[in-house]
Amino acid sequence: MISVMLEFPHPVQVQVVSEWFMSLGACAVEVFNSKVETEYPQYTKAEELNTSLWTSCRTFRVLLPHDVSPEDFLMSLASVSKWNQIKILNKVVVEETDWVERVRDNFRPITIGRLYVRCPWHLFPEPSRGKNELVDMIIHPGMGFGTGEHATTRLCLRWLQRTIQGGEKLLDYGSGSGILCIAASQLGCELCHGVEIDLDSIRNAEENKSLNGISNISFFQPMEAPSFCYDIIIANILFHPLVDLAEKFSQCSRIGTRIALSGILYDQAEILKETYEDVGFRFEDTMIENEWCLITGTKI
Amino acid sequence: MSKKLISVVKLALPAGKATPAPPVGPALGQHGVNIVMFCKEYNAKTSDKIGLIIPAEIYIYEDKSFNFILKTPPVSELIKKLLNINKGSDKCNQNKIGTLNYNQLLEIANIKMPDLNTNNISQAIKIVEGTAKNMGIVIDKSK
Repeated sequence: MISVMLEFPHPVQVQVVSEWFMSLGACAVEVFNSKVETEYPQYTKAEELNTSLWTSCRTFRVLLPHDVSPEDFLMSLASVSKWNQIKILNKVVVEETDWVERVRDNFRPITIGRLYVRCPWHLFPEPSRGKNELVDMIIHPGMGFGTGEHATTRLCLRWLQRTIQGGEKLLDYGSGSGILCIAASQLGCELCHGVEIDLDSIRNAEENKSLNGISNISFFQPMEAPSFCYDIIIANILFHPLVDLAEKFSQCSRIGTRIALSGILYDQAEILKETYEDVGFRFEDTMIENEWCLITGTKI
Repeated sequence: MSKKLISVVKLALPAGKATPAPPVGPALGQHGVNIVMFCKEYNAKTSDKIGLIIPAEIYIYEDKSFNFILKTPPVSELIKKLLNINKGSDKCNQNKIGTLNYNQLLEIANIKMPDLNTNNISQAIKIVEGTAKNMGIVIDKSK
């Protein structure tokens, strides 16, 4: 297979151009558009956001079968469409390799405090004497956010370790891969509810739950979530949905409920705090990693 | 789930039969996506369409998680199916292997419309015509 990087003289419609590429024999088309921030659309479902994401760009990477030369490919394209000034930036023959193995090499176990987050194909290390015992967590990286790689996930995991005493009831809103619920359960929470809009993520979370052999976690879609009063609420989502959820979190908390909000950028923290203070929360701490932050407080 | 998108990849794959081999491996593996998980999800979602090529558009986030949506089959696949042929012509200018009439052109263009991010049917027709031409298929708009 040959990987070819192509550049158009001006931005073109991604959907139309990728359709041309595919019709003329490309097996894969990749869009390059790193400048575009995509925080907001991710709040909606994948089905709804596809038309609004990265709709135009100039640079594409195309995978072609061995028997198609990039030059012929562009000639065919020029002969049937208006695209005739496309530059080949580079072409690389893709070597055959064990891709599953390559991908597995990409994931390394991550230690966050006492938590040892690993993939199903990693082994849990032998406990060594004199060290604090590690808590084993298996996460199958998939369609749910939260593989332990992201700053906000790590911030949340650190906070859970400081906060959970044992026996609490916890709500994780925007549960993704289920990583925070699994950590909370392992750290001693009596019951954990994960709420997630994306069904694929819920399936991923259920799989992770069973990989860890945990039974006190339940995952729900927002409409099906039970009304409940929680001791701890954690939500690693994004600024806009968090603003919308303030009222809801206030309703399912009591005086003394601890709350942690993340998935927000540092400069969004103050506005979010104000929104939550209006519904009865008081914030104590802000933790920062890279450009992301976590704010934590209590219902009063 | 503070997702920041790092890449969008479109892949043409056989429904229900995706494997980590190329193109999945090189296209997704280089971004660190768990390709075994992707294949499992893709095959589950396309198991009712076996025999068709169903492209997937995959969104890859900075923590290596992903999601994807399914697209309509490539135009060339739809033409092959409609005309009941296995492959396009080797020499598309000399060996003509079939004819598409206007209604057939329109039929395929309509199937493709949702994927083209346009309400402009002529854009879709142009793609179908171009692809057909490249496969050695004659367009006969008179019928």
